[in-house]
Amino acid sequence: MTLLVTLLLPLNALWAAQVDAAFETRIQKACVQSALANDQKVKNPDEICSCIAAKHLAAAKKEPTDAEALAQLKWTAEFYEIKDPKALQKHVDSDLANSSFDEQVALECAETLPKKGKKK
Amino acid sequence: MQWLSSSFLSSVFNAALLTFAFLMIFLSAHAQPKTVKTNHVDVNLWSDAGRSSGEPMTTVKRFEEIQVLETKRLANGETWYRVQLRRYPNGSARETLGWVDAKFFTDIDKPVEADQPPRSHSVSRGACTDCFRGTDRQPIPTRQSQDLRDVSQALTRSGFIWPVGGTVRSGFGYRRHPIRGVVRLHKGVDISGNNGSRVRAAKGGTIEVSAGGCVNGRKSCNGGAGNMVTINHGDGTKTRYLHLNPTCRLPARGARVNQGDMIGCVGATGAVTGPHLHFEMMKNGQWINPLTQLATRRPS
Repeated sequence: MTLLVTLLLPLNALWAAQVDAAFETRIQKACVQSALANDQKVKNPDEICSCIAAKHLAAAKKEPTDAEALAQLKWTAEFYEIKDPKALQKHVDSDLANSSFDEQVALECAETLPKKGKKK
Repeated sequence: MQWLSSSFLSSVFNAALLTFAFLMIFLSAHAQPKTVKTNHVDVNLWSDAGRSSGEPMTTVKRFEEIQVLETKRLANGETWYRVQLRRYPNGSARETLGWVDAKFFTDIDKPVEADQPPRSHSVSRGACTDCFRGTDRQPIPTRQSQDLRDVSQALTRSGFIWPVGGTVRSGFGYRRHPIRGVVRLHKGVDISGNNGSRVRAAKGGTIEVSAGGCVNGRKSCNGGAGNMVTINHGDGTKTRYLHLNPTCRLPARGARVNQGDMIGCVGATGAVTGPHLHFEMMKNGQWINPLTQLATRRPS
């Protein structure tokens, strides 16, 4: 039993790390595609989207359970992937807490990153 | 050997003497009953130490003096007094025994700043030192008298004061998602504030909702609102205070609060990216922009 646990624990950590990376990449890609498709021209979509994905991942890691963390990352990835406006609104309404959090994250990333670019 | 024995006896005697002296000091400090009073408006009197929910027995009114019978230090660092409250409602004395939170009280022989000329400096934006467990760094009278000055400075014709000093980070109204373009109504204002800064009742009223139990990090707690308080002001208006700090005690549901009373501290519970106060105002069931009701001058 001890041997089994010893063998499974690193595998579990490896799996979790892969899931993290997979979701971060998924959110970032979907976000960039959405930004490019957006009527409003978004400055620095790559930087903003990597900021959004990283913040979501960091916030998910603070959740008390893995299930909640995964559910949030899944919701966020789907939020950026959905193309149909009605489905998007339905998705937003399905989880107002996540929606509100994502809105704050996106606004913060959009407001702070271009300013940093100007300073350079 | 004889020398060793006498030295040993001498050290034992010294130790016993020292213990006795400490015991006497301890007993003299605790045997003396002390009288305390609060310069907060009303402080709840509870049946048990550490109570923060349910119905309080009664309240200790501002400047009312009470006798401390026992001091109890709780595991969370809070100090509570078991007190005797004596009142004369119909000419005859009526005594009530109960527990009060010691942080709201001061010894009567200590000077109360409210009775002294105001200081020139402003301290109101400092962190809420009294809301963190076991960190009573400032005397309470200083904070309270400053609170009262802030209240008088910030009063408006509508009767609402700023619940916390700070700048508005995000206003009321529709917000467009910068990437997805989804438009959502932001039902209040986000006021920036240091984690732990005091949050005060914008107007007097009754606590309608007092929802705690959230810790930082769990975004879905209370539907994203985190620890929150709603005050019904009784004139068709309500105010809501969201994302409050988990280390500060929230007022009990049904409790009466006066304008400027501390109802919590700025925190980051619920769906937030950092500490701030989300402050909402409702009039006849409709959300309204709080900035139209608040004074242009915020508490400094």
